[in-house]
Amino acid sequence: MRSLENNKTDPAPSRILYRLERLWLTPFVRFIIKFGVPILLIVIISFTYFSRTENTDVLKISWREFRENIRNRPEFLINLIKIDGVNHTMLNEVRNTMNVDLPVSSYDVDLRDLKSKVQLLKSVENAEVYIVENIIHVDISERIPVIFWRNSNGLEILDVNGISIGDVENRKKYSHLPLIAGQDANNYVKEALFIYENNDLFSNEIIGLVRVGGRRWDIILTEERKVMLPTQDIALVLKTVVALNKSYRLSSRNFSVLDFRNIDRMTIRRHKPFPETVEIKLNDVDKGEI
Amino acid sequence: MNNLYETQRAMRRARKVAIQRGVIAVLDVGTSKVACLVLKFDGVKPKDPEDTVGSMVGQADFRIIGVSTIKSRGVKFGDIDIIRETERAIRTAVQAAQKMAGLRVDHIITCFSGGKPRSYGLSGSSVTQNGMVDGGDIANVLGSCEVPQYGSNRDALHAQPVNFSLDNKNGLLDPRGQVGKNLSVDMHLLTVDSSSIEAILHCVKRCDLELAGIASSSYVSAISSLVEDEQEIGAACVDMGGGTTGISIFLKKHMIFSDFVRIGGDHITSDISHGLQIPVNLAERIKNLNGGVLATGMDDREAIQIGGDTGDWEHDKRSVTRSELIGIMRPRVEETLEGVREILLSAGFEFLPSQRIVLTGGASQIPGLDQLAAKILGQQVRMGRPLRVRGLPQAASGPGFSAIVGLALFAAYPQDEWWDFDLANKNYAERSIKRMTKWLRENW
Repeated sequence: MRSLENNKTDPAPSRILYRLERLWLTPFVRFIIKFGVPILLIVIISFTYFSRTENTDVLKISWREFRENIRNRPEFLINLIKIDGVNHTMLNEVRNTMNVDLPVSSYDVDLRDLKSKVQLLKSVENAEVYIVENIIHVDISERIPVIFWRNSNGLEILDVNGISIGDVENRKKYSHLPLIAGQDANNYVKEALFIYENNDLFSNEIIGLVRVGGRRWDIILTEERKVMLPTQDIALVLKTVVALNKSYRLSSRNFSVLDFRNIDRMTIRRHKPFPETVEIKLNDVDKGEI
Repeated sequence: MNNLYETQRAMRRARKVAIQRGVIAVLDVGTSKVACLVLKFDGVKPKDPEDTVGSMVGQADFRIIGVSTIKSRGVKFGDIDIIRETERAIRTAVQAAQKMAGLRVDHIITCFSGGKPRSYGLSGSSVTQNGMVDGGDIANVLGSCEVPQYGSNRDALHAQPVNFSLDNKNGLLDPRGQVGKNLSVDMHLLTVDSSSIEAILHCVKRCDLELAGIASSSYVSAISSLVEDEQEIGAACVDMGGGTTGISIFLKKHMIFSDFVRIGGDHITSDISHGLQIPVNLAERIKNLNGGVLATGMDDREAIQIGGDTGDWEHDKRSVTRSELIGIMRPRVEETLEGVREILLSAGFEFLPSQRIVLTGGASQIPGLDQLAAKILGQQVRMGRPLRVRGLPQAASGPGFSAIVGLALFAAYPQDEWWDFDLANKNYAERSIKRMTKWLRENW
């Protein structure tokens, strides 16, 4: 019998090939081979690689170097801090507070931190810190000293909002600034300034303002004179004083106290040797007769 | 017989599993070619599963996603002759179809034309159990059929209830649910050689596939090439294959008779080969290109080069006229058709209400066959092509593919057969033992 086996020219697949083909056409096997095996290989290879510490160290070091290289590129290097809006004496103070060692990479500059540091300075009202073209710009708006406040701790300079700019020994430096005193007076700086501005009569004789009882002002004048103002209607009182001065020439009179605390019953107290009281009716004042 | 009953039941279960999984392959093992289709069931089911009269019932719910046709190997007269060769052919076909489908196929339904099919008409009757006919009654009446002695080396391939009658009502297709007492049945039994089935089972098993059904190819080619009214009022389908010519007669949508003529297209080829002294493959080529059965005067002048490469000039430059070729082919075709006529006569085909004869199969493509067949078989002859099904490529829609297409329809929508009904156990003791073992298995 001649053999039937003539596999060389046989177009039929062998049994093994046929079975493999069927296996390949099985959806589960196909999925495993297409996705499961590659994923498993990646996981195994990476796991064996990263399980050795020297490999991870090399990776860490090269990553750090890569970062440093980028950070220290000249494009990111800052060489200058430009501070605007302060005088020379403040400049060094601001610079010292910021405490930045130049040159520095812009990645290492914490602008928010710098801003908060600068704003902690007493004489700084607001500060904008930003970087433009490798320069740190610090735009500062300074607090403007407007008034002296003498309290139990000494002499302080206040800005218009009553915030302390600093302690001073004496008034020499800002001798043109007015003076206030008394507890809680720093919270009424605007009122005090208003009194100063609208008080034409005694403008050259004022020593300062004293907050009395935390509710009203006394204007202290030279020669131990003072004007006691009410808690309210200060503007009206000041006008009244001007008007009274016209008719009664108050400034030339020898008084110790002008008492306007009760606006219906203004009182002038003389110095001790001449006790004399002039009573002024408010009605007359309103009519403009006096 | 009982063994085959269980085998057939197992096949039905396998078919159910395959349909649930959505993929099944059908395989036609023919003498000249092996064709394989992969069917995908889309899950488009008829709304009512009992509704069996929809316009596209059995065809609408599947799609062909893989096709392969290869030359058959090791098959003679429709029977597997060399098992290992046929196994390889099946493997090649299945692999190619699987590859086209991109899916692995586990279940296969196959058909073959060999095994010397012989059909028997059986009848039986029984009394219904409780007045109304149910599945058990049908199993009973089917079991009561007198089975002829068809031989110990043969097996039933199809056992289809064709007609039921209940009391005096006749012609029932499905008596279930009807009220009556005496139920009788006509059954069509088709037997084939056991060795043919064994060979097919062996081949399929060697290909790691599970057989989900087996059918006679003359039956399935009739399913696809007879139109509905032909199946209803009576027609014969002549499937002219390579090795055999199968005949099946349909009435009332059931096959009532099947037989075969042991002559096919391959015989014509071998006649040409013998007559013209040329190799078989050249003979096949000449048959396909120039063949015919009706000679005209023109054919005397048409010379066909039949050549050869022996080196002998005289021998290599031979030519024959087409009428000579027709002279060789025609007697064989006539012989086949006469065989068909005899079978139809013996089957009593002329008593059917309609005598339509449909010629299909690869060998039916011979030019002029319809006129020759009309002379021999009568005027009601037509050429048949398979039904159109979704996804079938043009190349596989010729008459040669009516068996495989019919098998696809059969796979999707099989006819109820004897083994679809639960056999009522006559032996009560046996049943109680079964129950006991079942109970033990469930509870321990």
